[in-house]
Amino acid sequence: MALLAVSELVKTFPGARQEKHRRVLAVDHVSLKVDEGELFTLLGPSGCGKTTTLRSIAGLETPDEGTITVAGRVLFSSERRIRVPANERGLGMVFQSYAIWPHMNVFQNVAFPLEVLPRGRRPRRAELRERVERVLAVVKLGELASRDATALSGGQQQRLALARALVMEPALLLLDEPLSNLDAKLREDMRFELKRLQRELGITCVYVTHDQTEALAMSNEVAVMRDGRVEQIGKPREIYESPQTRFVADFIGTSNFIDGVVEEKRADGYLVRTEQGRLEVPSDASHAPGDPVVVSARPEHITLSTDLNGAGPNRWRGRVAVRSFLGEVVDHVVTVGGCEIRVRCNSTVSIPAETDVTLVFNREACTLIPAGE
Amino acid sequence: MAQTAAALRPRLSAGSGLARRLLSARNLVVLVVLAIVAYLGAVPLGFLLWQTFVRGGHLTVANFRGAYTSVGIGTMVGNSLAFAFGSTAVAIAIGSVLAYLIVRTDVPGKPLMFAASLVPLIIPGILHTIAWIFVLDPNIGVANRWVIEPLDGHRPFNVYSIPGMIVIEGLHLAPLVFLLMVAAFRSMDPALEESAIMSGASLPTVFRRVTLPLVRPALYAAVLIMVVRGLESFEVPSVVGLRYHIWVFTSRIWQALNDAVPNYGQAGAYAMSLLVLTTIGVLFQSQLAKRARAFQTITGKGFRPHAVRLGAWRWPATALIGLYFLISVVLPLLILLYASTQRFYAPPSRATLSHMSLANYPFEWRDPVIRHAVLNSLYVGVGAATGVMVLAAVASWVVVRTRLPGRYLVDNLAFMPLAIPGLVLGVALLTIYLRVPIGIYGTLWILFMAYLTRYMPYGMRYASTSMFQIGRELEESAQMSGAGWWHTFRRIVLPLLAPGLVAGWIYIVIVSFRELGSSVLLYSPGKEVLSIVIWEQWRDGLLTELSALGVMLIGALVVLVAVAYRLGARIGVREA
Repeated sequence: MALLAVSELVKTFPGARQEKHRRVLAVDHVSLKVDEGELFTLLGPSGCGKTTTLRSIAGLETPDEGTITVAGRVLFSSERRIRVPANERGLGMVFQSYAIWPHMNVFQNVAFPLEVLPRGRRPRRAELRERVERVLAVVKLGELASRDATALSGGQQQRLALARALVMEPALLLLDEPLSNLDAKLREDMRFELKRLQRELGITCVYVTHDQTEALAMSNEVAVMRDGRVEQIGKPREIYESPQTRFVADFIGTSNFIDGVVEEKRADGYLVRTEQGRLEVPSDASHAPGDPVVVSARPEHITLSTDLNGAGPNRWRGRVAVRSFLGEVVDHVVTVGGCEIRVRCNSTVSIPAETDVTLVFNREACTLIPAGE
Repeated sequence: MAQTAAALRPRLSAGSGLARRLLSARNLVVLVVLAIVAYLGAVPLGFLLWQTFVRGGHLTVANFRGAYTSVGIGTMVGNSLAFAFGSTAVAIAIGSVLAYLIVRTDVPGKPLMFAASLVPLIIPGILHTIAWIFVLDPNIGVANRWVIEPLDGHRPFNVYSIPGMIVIEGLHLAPLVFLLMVAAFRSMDPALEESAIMSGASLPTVFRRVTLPLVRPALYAAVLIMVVRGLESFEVPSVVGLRYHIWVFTSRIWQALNDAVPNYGQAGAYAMSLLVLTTIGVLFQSQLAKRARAFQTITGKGFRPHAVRLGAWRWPATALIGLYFLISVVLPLLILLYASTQRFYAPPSRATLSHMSLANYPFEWRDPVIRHAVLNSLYVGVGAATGVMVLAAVASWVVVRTRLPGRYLVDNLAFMPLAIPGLVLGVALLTIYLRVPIGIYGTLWILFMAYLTRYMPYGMRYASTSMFQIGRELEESAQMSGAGWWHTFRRIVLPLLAPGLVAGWIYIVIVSFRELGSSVLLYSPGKEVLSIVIWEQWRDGLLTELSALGVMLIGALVVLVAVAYRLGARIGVREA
């Protein structure tokens, strides 16, 4: 059974003054399930409702409708009029700003959640000390216990926030863009560190981010959100390789979108006719010949060659318009007919502008998306 | 019986869940605080209105007719306006020129100016006024004796006149204008001036076409604040104006209540009129503040304005600042110090200077009236400061953090007393607690109520400024850690708010020591506070004794202000 189940969650906010009596729909019938021990990511651009969803789970926002259950305990239900206050939910949370209390030192910050437990469950002094030290050791802050919280570096504050959320041994850990305040190098390190901790401790996490790399690298499952709705839920690979909508394809990495019309059904997909040429695309969706569709092709799934022989489906003729060297890879913009197609090659392939080339679309890596989405 | 109780139990326990929710610590604390704030903000005014317009259950304007048909009413209104606008003009002229020099030029002596800006905090208005009488009195004033008479034959400057009152009040208000204008000049983006220079404008043109229009909203705001202050002022009109019966609203209110038969209705009518005037000023000012925001002079960004090089004008400017410091700080302090060493007051001469003694000081201290007054001032000041900051901590939390429907009403109520002159508040509280016999009239409690009301806006400003600086997530993370409202408030909010609360507390203690306007109507014999004792000593002609007491009071205030500054409080500007 899922550890966290959210169903039909709706949250509105009062609209701006100009549009009186209108409420802005921040979360629009969101449902999701997270299994025990998994890291589940809510991914989307700012304003897509991911943080509101997370805060509703935390109990910091009160949803208008829906149900939230953690480990079989109903935390919120609009129907049954249940609303457990945030401080009684027993969930851990790491905030975007870390929210380290500046008037306490490292030890006091971590000890706080244990000190405010109800009298019966509050640990004794010795046990409290032991638990705090243990969790500080886990996040490698053991040495700094008596340091002022404000004297920590960004990465250390991040780990402190994590320790404070973990000390209660919560059933569920909520992370609100925890890495967004770190610089690029540190962010990468913390990403692996966070993933390692999550796996070792077996904590179930809900992770909010707008960074697709982070989402793909860390998650067991990703929900891509847009305008308060879940656009697609799936494993990172599925999301990346077979986005179901144009938005998902565009948001997760870059993609070429080529408009076309279904020409005929093939064994495991369709042959699509576009203005620039034909493409064979695998798909298990049902389309009739003549249906307008969009083919999404990732730049790194297209190869370039200067061999101009042979043409046919998935082999197009074009001319390099721009080449830009990015270090590990070389990006080419190739014009085919009136359309520009972005191609990413490894650094051994570098073709100067104004050269005629053949583009080869990797058949398996193209995705068919219904037009109009 | 037992059966009934048993039958009731399930119903009771079902209900107690709801009751427990409603009666949670948070709701109780919030409700009590909001009720007190609302009471303090709304009741005195409501009562004053009712008292003035209702007599025997009927609406009436009899009080107003009485008040406004009395002799010399036109002169009184004219005096009030002349006094308020005149002292504003003096204060604005001095304060904004000095602010420009300090912020925008390379003039030396800037610390001196900031020290001078603290004068209104450390020298209570009544002492400031008396010190200036020592300077400007036509008979005993040192300035008349030493400067004006030798220069101008035998026509001394008569301080007991509207121009005299304007000069003293203007000098007292100038530091406030200075601080307001310093803030305005500082928050101006120097790029705006620089781009005008790059467009080819000369420095005077830049000043006239860019600098001045940009600070104009701040300047107008300062003018309004000073006019309101001038209208509210009681110290100068009572100490200087009463001698030749130069009446203004405040002294007239006082007089109506100090006649052989106190005329409450008339005092109320004058108080209402004054209140209308000050409220118009405050409303205008808040409108202006809103528009100024749209004007975007103040971007909240820290700029380092480039200093205009004064060149040859540097030394005259320095001299100006030095002179101002001498006149506004050194002179009043020295003359009070000198007066405190004399047995009878006479202008300084070789004879008096050779007879200086500290006899007044131990005398002052041994006097039981003084001892009680010190204690009373401490009780009321410390009590009110503590009360205000406790209320403000919770109220500002409600206003800043919650989405409670009535929170803006609370905010407005808490700021309402800002528009109420001390004497008007005094009249209001007097009428309430004479009518409602809950036993606080004639005790220190009524002063406590007055101070609590008067200083609530300052407390709110300190507390909510600090509250805005505490990230919401700091509280939310405490909630997520399992802390309920009370734990969160006590262990997270209060400690983080503490510096602001302490600064506000000290500020209120300081200003309450020199409160005179409402105290003068509300005290009763035996329950004097320090400012009242000084006022009584002035009326009894005990000039040297009051100087000694004043010097001690100023010493104590200097210590308090220094402590406040050590705590990093920028208290000067709040005054406005």
